[in-house]
Amino acid sequence: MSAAPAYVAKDYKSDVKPVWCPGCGDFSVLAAFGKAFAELGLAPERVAVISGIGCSSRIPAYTRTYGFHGVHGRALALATGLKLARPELTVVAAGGDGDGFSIGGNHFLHACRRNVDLTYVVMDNRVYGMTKGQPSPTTEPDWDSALSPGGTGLRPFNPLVIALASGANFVARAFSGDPNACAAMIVAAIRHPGFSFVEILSPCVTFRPDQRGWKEQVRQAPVAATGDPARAARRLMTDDGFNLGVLYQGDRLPYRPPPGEGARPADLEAEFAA
Amino acid sequence: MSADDAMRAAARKLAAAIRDAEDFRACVFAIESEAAERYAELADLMATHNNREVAALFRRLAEIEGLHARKMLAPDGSAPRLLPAGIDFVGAETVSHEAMHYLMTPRQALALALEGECKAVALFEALAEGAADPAIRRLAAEMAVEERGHVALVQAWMTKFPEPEADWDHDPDPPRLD
Ligand SMILES: Cc1ncc(C[n+]2csc(CCOP(=O)(O)OP(=O)(O)O)c2C)c(N)n1
Ligand code: SF4
Repeated sequence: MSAAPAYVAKDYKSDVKPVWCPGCGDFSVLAAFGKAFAELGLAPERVAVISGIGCSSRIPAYTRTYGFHGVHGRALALATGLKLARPELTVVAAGGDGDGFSIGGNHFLHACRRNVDLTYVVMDNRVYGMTKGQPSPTTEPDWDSALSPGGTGLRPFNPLVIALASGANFVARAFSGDPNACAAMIVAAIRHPGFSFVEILSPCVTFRPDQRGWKEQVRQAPVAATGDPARAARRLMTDDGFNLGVLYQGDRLPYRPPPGEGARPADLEAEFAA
Repeated sequence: MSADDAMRAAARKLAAAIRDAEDFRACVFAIESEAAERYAELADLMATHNNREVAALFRRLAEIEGLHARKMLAPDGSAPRLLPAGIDFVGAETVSHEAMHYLMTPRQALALALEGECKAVALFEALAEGAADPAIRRLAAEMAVEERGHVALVQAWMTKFPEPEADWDHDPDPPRLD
């Protein structure tokens, strides 16, 4: 008989009721977090979910682990600091495409480059959901809306290409319509050493009702993950944004701070003493 | 893949992993518990959006699924053994978040529940035909009968609620800005 799992997905769900719109893809991502943590047998007090601001960034409130709902765009700065100070924790940063690629874009580049052992999950809905539907860096140039009449005409940011070029050690895409596959992807990302980036296509049914059609567009990538960045780059540059799977899995050593005693909280506080 | 094909594929996977009646109970317990939890979540969600009628309906469905899960408990009340290795699929009867709308009517909520129950019938029928062990086939056939009963129940409920009006999703103060 197989050993009893230490935890089930429900153990990671908090008592706070999500205020997301019915049908929002983020519900499935939340379910996938629970399934992934249970699959990994992670004690809730050994996990920290860190976010910025946005609908998707509310996820730490709904997760019964340590969590920090931080400042807009600063999830990765917080998560990096936490992981370096408390390397024994499993640190997962999460948020939206606006949070991660607009205001947080600079942190994204450098988190990939630093390759600290973190997992970053971006619930990409190609819009600012929380502030009522402004285009984000991943919005299609011709997405016509009241706030961007005729579309922005701007070339979208390609997060997977940028992640790869900036040094992320694991690059993958999943779709919230398949929570079990999302959970499996999060498990693989957490297990992979270094900075793991998972883009989860997560429809905003309110401001992008067209994204309900994503379930017909997504497909499993026809090729297995590669560890060759040049090959991954070629693949990602021709990707239409709907190929799912692990697209790059590198073997760069994660950044770890040099051994030795870190600063004590009292020393840090002393610096701020008035 | 159609919903029926997906159920048949899931049934094949279950049939291969289930070793005995205890495993079968474990799977049914997981399927029914997950369905109950999801209905409870959807009830909370609808309550948050002040759609009280549908919230109450989902709450009732959560209770019914919870009862089914509890039927799988041993006489001393203990939960069945854990899912057999290799089974991650338990969403057989679970209603998806994607199908929700904050203004949905009770009739639409029941149509969703009906889909969930029909998926469960398809799963247990496929197991009743395809499982190698005759004891599992018999248990699956019993479950299929029970699930068909739920289909009839939900269908009967549906007749009590009118079809949604053509403009059921009209919101005089909509969230969209265009
Ligand atoms: C410093 C700062 N600037 C702007 C805002 C306003 N703001 C809140 S959420 C958000 C964007 C949210 O979009 P995204 O990260 O894609 O998340 P979603 O709501 O779509 O999940 C913005 C611009 C803010 N809260 N703080
Ligand atoms: S506005 Fe969009 S992203 Fe925000 S909760 Fe609603 S559906 Fe989800």
